[in-house]
Amino acid sequence: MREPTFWILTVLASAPHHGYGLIREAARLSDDRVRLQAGTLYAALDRLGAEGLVELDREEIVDGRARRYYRLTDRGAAALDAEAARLRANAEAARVQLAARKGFGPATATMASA
Amino acid sequence: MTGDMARPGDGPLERRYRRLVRVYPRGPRREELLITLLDCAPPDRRRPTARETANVLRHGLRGRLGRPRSRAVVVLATLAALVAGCFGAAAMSVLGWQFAPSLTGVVQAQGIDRTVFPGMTVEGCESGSELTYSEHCADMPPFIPNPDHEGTRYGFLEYRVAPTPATLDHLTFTSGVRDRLVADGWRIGSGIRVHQGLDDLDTSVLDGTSAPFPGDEVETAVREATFWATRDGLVLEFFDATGTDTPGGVADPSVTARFTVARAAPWWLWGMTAAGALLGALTGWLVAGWISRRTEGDGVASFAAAIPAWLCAPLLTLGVLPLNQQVGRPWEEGLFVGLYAKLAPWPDLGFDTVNPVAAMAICAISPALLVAAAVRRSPDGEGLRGDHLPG
Repeated sequence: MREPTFWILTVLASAPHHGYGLIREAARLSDDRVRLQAGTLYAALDRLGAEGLVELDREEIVDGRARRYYRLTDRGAAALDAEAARLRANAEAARVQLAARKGFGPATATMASA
Repeated sequence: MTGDMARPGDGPLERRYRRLVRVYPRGPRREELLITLLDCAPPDRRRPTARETANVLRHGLRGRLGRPRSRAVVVLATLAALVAGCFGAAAMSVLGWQFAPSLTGVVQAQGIDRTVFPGMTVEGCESGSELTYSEHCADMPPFIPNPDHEGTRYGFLEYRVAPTPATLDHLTFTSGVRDRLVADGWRIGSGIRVHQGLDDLDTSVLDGTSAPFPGDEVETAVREATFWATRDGLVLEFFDATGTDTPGGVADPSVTARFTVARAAPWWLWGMTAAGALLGALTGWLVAGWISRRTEGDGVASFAAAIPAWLCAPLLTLGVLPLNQQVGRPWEEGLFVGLYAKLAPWPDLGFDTVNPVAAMAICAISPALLVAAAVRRSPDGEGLRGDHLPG
């Protein structure tokens, strides 16, 4: 799963969002490490929609402009859960390897597992 | 609601964003993207950033193809753009060549014959020489069949002299010609090459339109030195041959020193050709996208549209590239001759009226166009980009 896809699914996990809300929330959750471009966002939404992972939730008119909200489907939630488990396993493998390295040693590993 | 047109109250940034999002296909996505871009823009922004522009162009062009999960449609659209780009370049270059400067009178007006053959009697089209390939001066077309009727080359005028003791010393004489041309402002394009023992009647080799096949040369006593040079939109090729075609045979008057002059592509012709390539490529991409979106969601129509294109794709992609080999002449000639060969008939291979590459392109695209025109279109193919909310 690519980074933009992961963050889109993550943002939508808690509540439906419109495009700008998705970009802003992805930046907040990632501590500003992820700044989604609008074109990238909607290309990913199209692909995720075709895969059945997200769907259109509702459309609202604000200041005369239509805002379309997107929500996570159950399949999308399952895909995000599987990805999160994969990332957790990757992180754990890295942590164990670093624990065996001098200088990153047992203290770090002990603190992390405590 | 289309959101395509600029509105009276729009600020400059919104007008520019509105123009930019038109790269996406018509539909609610344009307005949605516009709102998101405006929401993301800081208050002092007056125009889209380069990164935003590149991102919207990239994804908008992809969006034109529909089928967001498909990679095959991207490959097919890329091939369509390549093929249409080559045809666009070919059409514009052939059109441009019609306005290229005429060769008539150029050689004598610039004194090229006197520089190459000083103090010698030069035979050319002006003297109606039957020994030269270009017997008539006027209206030399941009492209002509090779003297051996295999393939095509730039139209050229030929000038020659009768053999003399000086020309029979072919290496010395050729070096002298080269030095005189350099002194007269010509730029030498290649070092002097020497053909040893090849049949000089095999013009596809000696005129530089193909490479000799190893082990397939006819061994004769002919030795020929040759090089090419350019100046002011002209390409000059010089040849000086000695010997005879038949070992031990009598002297052959056709084995002598000669030069040809052809046009080089003017700078504006490169611009026309590049514009044709870009316009063709864009058209190919957009037409592929239109067909893809029209048939999206209809498996039978998609299959019927794509199969002929896929079947033709490998041969058509190879056939459409202007990769004509022009041994011993400027590579640019290979490019323009190659483009011309995408539109002109190939009589040497039996295609007297129809160009086989163009015919194959028509066979590849016609079924898809017919299917796309006939199919009943579903609203934008899928839910997220469509006009309808789920119930």
